[in-house]
Amino acid sequence: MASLSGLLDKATRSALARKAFNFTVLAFFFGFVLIPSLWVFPHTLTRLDQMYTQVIAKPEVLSEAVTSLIRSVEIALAVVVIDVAVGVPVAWILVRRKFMGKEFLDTLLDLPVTMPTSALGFSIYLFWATPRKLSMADLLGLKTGFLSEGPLLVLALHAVFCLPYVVRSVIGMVSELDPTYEYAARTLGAPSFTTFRTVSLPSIVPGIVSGAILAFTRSVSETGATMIVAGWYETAPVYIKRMCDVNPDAASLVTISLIATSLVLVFALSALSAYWRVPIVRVLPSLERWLSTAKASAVRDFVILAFLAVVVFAPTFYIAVAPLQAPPQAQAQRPDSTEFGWDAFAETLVNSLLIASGATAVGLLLGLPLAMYISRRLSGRLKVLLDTLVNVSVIVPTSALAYSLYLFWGDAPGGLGLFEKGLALVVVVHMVLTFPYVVRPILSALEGLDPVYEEAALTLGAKPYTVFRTVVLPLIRPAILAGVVLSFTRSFSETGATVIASGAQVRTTVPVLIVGWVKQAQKLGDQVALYNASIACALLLGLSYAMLVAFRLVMGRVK
Amino acid sequence: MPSVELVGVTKRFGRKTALDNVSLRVEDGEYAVVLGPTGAGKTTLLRIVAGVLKPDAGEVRIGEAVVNDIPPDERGVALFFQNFALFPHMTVLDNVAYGPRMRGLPEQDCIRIAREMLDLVHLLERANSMPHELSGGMQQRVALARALATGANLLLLDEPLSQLDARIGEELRYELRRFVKDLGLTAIHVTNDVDEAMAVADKIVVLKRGSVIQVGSPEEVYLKPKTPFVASFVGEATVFEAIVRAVDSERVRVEAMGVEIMAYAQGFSGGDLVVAAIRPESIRLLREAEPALANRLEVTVERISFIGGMLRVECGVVGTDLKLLSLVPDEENVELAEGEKLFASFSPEEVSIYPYPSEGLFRELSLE
Ligand SMILES: Nc1ncnc2c1ncn2[C@@H]1O[C@H](COP(=O)(O)OP(=O)(O)OP(=O)(O)O)[C@@H](O)[C@H]1O
Ligand SMILES: [Mg+2]
Repeated sequence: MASLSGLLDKATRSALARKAFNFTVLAFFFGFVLIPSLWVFPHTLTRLDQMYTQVIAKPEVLSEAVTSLIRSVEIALAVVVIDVAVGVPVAWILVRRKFMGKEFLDTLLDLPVTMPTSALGFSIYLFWATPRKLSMADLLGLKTGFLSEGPLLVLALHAVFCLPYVVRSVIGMVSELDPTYEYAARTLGAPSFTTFRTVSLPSIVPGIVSGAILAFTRSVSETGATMIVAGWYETAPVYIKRMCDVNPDAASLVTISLIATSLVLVFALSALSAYWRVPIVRVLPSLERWLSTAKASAVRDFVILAFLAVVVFAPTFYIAVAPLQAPPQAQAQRPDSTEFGWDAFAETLVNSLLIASGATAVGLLLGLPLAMYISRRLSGRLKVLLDTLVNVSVIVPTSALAYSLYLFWGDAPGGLGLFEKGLALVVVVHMVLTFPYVVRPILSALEGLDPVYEEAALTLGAKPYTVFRTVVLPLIRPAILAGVVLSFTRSFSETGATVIASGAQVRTTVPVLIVGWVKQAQKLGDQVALYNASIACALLLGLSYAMLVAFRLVMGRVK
Repeated sequence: MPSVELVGVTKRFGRKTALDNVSLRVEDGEYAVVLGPTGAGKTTLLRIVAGVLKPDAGEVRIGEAVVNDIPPDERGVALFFQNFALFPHMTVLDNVAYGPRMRGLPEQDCIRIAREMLDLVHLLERANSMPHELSGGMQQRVALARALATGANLLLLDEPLSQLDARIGEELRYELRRFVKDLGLTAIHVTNDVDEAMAVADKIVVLKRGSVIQVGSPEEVYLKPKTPFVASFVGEATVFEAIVRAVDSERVRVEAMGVEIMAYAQGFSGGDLVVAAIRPESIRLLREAEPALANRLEVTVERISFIGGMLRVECGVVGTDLKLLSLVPDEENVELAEGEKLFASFSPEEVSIYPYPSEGLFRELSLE
């Protein structure tokens, strides 16, 4: 170890070695992550005439494509509104209120993003949808379900798995708030609600914006779970999935539009929030005074917690209850029995865990130096540019990203022809989609770290690598861990991109397998597949919860 | 114009007791200063009066009404924060106008009041700056303007002058007092600066480790310190432990490290362990020839420093470890040199004798 440190010390002092290293890291970011993610743009430029004949000139194709796009954006915007309205008070309650079981609630909130979205989608589907075997409506003996397959059910699903992004990001800001400002506002005569609006809210707006951005891009790219609950209501990523073999130019058009819409909306939102000011003067003073009363705030807390219980937790946990019902007797006919056995489940689960760990490891190995490079070597416009490009790679909707990567690596015209759709492409997709999730928190931590400590260590005689190891690394450890956890859970739960990268194969990762089982059950009325899927999802719920608890233990110890 | 009263107020943070059964009364229109070393609980006390902290026990009354359950925005108090708490996202003017706006005044009145207050603290030309663009002293003045602009008639000031240059601070302390008096406000001003407290207070409340040690006018607190702590904190007395050797009807003779000292004191008996305190300005330093007071000790000058027209002289009593501190006028004819042998002389009235504190002298005097 000592000799390795010595070697690295020597290497970091050699300008050539450092240049070579930086070059590798940058080459990975641009050549492996960024350019392939956006490959759909140059790809389309070379096929404008096909695009015209195959899509633009065919009104029914075009209108179908545009409809799917509009649906996705509508759903995502509605999700953002709901999740900000719910997420901000939830974050506030979690940071500021003291109550029994707060830790537990805090852990549960991460569950919808940790468990595979298809498992979550199946659970939510069974909870709300029209009666069929295993559903909540069936369990209660109802004739109709609460929500039928379609936009409302899609909304009910997306609002759940996007909520944690808003809550986490707002919690980050709320717990940094210095309560002295609130005290000041209170003694200056502002009731508690007015204090929140005029003093606390402006400070947490950046957290709300970044949470909203993540929620938007997640919603707009979700495929697997949406396929389970959407029925006839085809959103853009589901459309891409269906079209990428049937009419690749239509898929490209929707992919491009999805990426462009996300980028435009995100940058517009960021720019707007930088200029937007909360009005300081009194707005409806009597209403705000009423909202500030103890009674009103108790009612508000109750409504929020009730929403969490009914709309978020009950549907998420329903899958733990569903398999308790009697298993079906008859063995249905299966097209391919190897895809429906428990060995397929075990295999894909192992795949999922290996891919999540591997992608995270690669991300950390290359992401940490990239973050160091951006934060410590660059300055001015170049730094802003790279920082923005890292954000861009977070914003690109994952299903668009997967399609783009397929165009880049796969056998599509102009592609490299290296990977077919299948497990290898899935691995590549996961490496790319998790990468920014490792880099982002580390980069933020480095930006928040005063370089004076590094300067001090250098003047005390430490060599660059030793400075990094003894000063920087310990100080940014929580951010590294956060990045690792984010990247791992992101990969483990990702369904949309994987479904697209898997093509016709079902035996890639476990979320894809679940989608396969459920679609099979829905299409052919296969009761055994349905039942098995519910057991598999319940297992995944348990596993995800165990993972969350383990992450918390480790995080707690690092902090 | 309210009076303020605390009755048996206790506040704990976990195991730490920040305020321990504090009772005190500030009259209507009075300028009270809470004086105490860092960590004494001064900020906690003000926050409880303002209502942003809830006491664990006890009552807070403002103008005779119990306000424990009244939220801060309805208490009619203005709190100046030790770290200013200027809203970072608002301009200086918006910060100062915040209070009037929250009271629902018409917008042009809010602006007018804010500008008046900024003018008062000489910062009108910085009205459109953001707080972080100002120096610490300027921020402090903005915070003051913001507190004053609320129009509240109870002003709570948490170390309002600590960030200012000594000179400006001294100027502003009188302005502050004049302002409070002119408007007929009641003020509770918190500080750890003894000179500041002496200069502005109608009434001083000495706070230590969450307990009120003494309440009185500046003269009382200075001249009749109730405990050795007050004696040493307010005015740098020489404080040492001693044993009572002899008593008569009004005087005692005590011995400290082999040195015998006469003092006026009652209620002690021979053999008692006590604490003696002598103010530095009551110890005169004499050359041999001059006539001495009842107590006369041979000393060696160990260190001399100059403070504003006075010489602060530390000396050691010859042949013992007893140290004395003396403050003598820096006049031309006094020429002292370190190492010089002199006589220290003081009258028995100037020596205060206290019962030995139960927690020990070191802990009694410690500022922690
Ligand atoms: N929010 C808090 N949580 C825990 N302990 C606290 C809190 N606020 C104050 N304390 C503790 O209570 C004691 C009194 O604190 P307080 O801030 O009132 O002292 P102070 O007299 O204002 O000191 P200073 O002169 O340094 O401002 C201190 O020991 C402090 O550590
Ligand atoms: Mg304080």
